Amino acid sequence: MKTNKILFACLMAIAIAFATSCNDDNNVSTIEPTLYTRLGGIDVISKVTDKFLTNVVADDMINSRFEATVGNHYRLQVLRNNLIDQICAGTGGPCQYKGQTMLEAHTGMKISAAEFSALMGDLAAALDFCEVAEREKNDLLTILTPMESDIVDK
Amino acid sequence: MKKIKILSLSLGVVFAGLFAYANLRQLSIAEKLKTVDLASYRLKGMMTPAERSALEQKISALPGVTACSVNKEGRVASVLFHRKEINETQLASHLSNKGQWQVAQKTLQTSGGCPVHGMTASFYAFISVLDLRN
Repeated sequence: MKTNKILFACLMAIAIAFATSCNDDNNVSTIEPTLYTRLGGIDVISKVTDKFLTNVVADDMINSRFEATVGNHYRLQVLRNNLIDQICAGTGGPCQYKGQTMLEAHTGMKISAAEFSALMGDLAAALDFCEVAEREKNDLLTILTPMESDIVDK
Repeated sequence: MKKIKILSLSLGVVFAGLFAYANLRQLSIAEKLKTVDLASYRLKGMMTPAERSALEQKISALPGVTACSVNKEGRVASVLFHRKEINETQLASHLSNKGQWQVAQKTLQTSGGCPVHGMTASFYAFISVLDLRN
């Protein structure tokens, strides 16, 4: 009788272990990778950011807003690092954005909706140039577009 | 005399503190990337959309260049690059495509720009000079 009890307990333990391991496998297969991972990590984000910066500086509609910043070596690094950190953190990557909030940063600049639209166009063009897939591109733009309310007409 | 000694000592301690901070602070992922510079150029001469795209691809593929954009009109080109690997004169030469386009470097504004980065950039500049890891 005692032997049966021990045998039953062992079988139950094995069954539970199986069930648990099966559940884990199922979870792993259904966990969606972060947008950061799907984009290709920091390498792709830095490439997109660099292309975005050159697009903006070549864009006659908005380049006057950025020239003084990108023309100074140290200010350029701060802007570039902040952009990379912001995209990295916003997409679930292992970064921390240390810059000011978008509202704090843009208050008093009186940026128009057309200028913001041109900026987003430059970002979309950078994503296309770096061959970011349509789904990831739309997901990133969806994260960034709501910033418009903190940037435009402030 | 005693005041000067105290002042000198205080300044020394502050400098040592900033030096230690500059070299011991944990760098973010973005800060670990190689630093870049930006140059902007005015282009003269007819340029088709295909030529514009080809020029962007050609410049972007140069060693030391991280990105290049030419605007839709083919009048402005901007390039991000690593100064230790390539300089503005070499970039202008590549952009001219053996004399096909006239190239002149643009002088960028020195004041204005993103106000958010004004103060932090000054501190960042000072700390970067002290950081021996750069």
